Amino acid sequence: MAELLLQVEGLTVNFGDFTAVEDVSFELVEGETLAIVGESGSGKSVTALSIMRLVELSSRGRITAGSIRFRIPGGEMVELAGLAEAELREIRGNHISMIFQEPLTSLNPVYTVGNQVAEAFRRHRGVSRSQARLHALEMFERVRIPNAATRLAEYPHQMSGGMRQRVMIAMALSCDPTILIADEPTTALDVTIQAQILSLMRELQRETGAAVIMITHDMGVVAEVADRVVVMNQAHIVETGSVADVFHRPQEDYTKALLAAVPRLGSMAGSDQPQRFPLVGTDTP
Amino acid sequence: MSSLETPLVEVRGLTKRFPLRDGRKVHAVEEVSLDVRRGETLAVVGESGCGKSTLANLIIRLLDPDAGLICLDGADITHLGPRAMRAHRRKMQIIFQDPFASLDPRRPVGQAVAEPLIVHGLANKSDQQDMVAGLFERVSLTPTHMDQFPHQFSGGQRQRICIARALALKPELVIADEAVSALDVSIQAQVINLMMDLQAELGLSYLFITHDLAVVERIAHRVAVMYLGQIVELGTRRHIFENPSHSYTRRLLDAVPVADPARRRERPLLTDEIPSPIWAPDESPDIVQLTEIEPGHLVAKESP
Repeated sequence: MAELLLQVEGLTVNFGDFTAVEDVSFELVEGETLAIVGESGSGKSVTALSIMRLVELSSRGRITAGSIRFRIPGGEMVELAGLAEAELREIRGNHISMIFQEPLTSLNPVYTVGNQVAEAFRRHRGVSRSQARLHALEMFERVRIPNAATRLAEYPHQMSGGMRQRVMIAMALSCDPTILIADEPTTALDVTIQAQILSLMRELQRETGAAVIMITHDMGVVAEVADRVVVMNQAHIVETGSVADVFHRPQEDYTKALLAAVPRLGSMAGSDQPQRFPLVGTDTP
Repeated sequence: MSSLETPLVEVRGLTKRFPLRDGRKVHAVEEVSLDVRRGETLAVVGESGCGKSTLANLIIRLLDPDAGLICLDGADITHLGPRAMRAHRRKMQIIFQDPFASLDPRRPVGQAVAEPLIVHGLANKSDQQDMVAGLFERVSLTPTHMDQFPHQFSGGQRQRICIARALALKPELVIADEAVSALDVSIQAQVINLMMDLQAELGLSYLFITHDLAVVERIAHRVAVMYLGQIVELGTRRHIFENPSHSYTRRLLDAVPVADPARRRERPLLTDEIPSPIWAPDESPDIVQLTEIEPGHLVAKESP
């Protein structure tokens, strides 16, 4: 049986008096892709940021209850919720890494992309500059950046959005993490580029065996990549299940309403006329 | 030809280039020709930088074209000045992606919707209130919302307000430039249903600019696919979705993630990038030739 990598139990996150995530529990086993899907304000991104305790760094969020247990590779489960910052740094970017929607804001504009990927690796592994540089090149080739050697020397602004996201993936995978958290990684990309990044992520997952937590609002992306799905709404988990169950046998009214609102390419084949969405529940906000 | 058969909008050879400081030019729209027929939704789809928003801005005369012709209701409006345009502006309105940016944060939304009525002298003080209330009801808001400010509404409600404002002048054409792209999917579906209801009720024509093909399949009668400033395929919804005949249309359709895990596909690992529409001063892109492969279905010839 696949080994348990991450166990989140009763996670609650507050921003002042506002509860962004309440009593959220889920598990992640090795090699699987778990999608956390929801609309704006559902708490999906805050959940993702909480796993590495970034929610406390980047914004004034506070984990007020719950536990986040992570298995150190080849070792036992550690509680991330109470872990000291120094120990967290060993885990972030090393065992668990993260990519975001907008790679341009995650990259430093004044360093070449090759430098940044090499530096991240050097920090964690303490290798020499030339070794790190070689590793960056390997990673660029791994994420299928064409002419990898020349592109290492480029600055972020010289690259397209799709290439920048490949750089972020290269950086995220450079320490061979067991978990990759991807927060809306393709939302800002054009649809043909999105398809390329999704297939790349799937292929890399096969090659590395990393487990992926995919945070998205897009049911199409969920259907394409997920093994299991967590549906969130208003800080809570509404439904959890296999991707087939959630799409074909949704149990909760919210999930049913959400699925009814998703336009599905090909669902109107043979129709000469446009058609309204057959919405579930009320048709006005 | 009777006026019923004249398309509401006729665009011929429309071209717009933006000069860059280094002398090169962005060829945003290159010799685009299309019609928007009365009561139909024509969707213009394409990826970032394909020129679809520039096309919308040209048709509504927010930008001046470098070449080509725009006719609205049979009248050539390509070079009309602001004063002469005013009468035609009533016939076409535009809604944008971000309704928050389209509304003045310091004015009650009722005033925003009333403004076009006042500017065009269509309402006096006494019936203005009733007309605005009627518009609010038409987009499924209530007249009590009129005194509130933009920040008090959700994204979907704000877009309804922008739709109400666009409808104030009883336009024949509404251009929707990514008007539902920023909305959550459940809200997006409601706004699309509203737009379709309004079309049935008022006989509106829509020029629906979007990157989202799944939405297009819901809402469009006809579809134009744009790539690097040019139309590469134009046809009815069934032509485009059931018999896509240009390689770019097929690539777009293949790329759309389908919300059904039973239809999951393995795709080849590609690393193309979208080519640039920027050209040196003495160069320009080849203009594609459209061929009609079946009635009403135009496809650009591709070099083998």
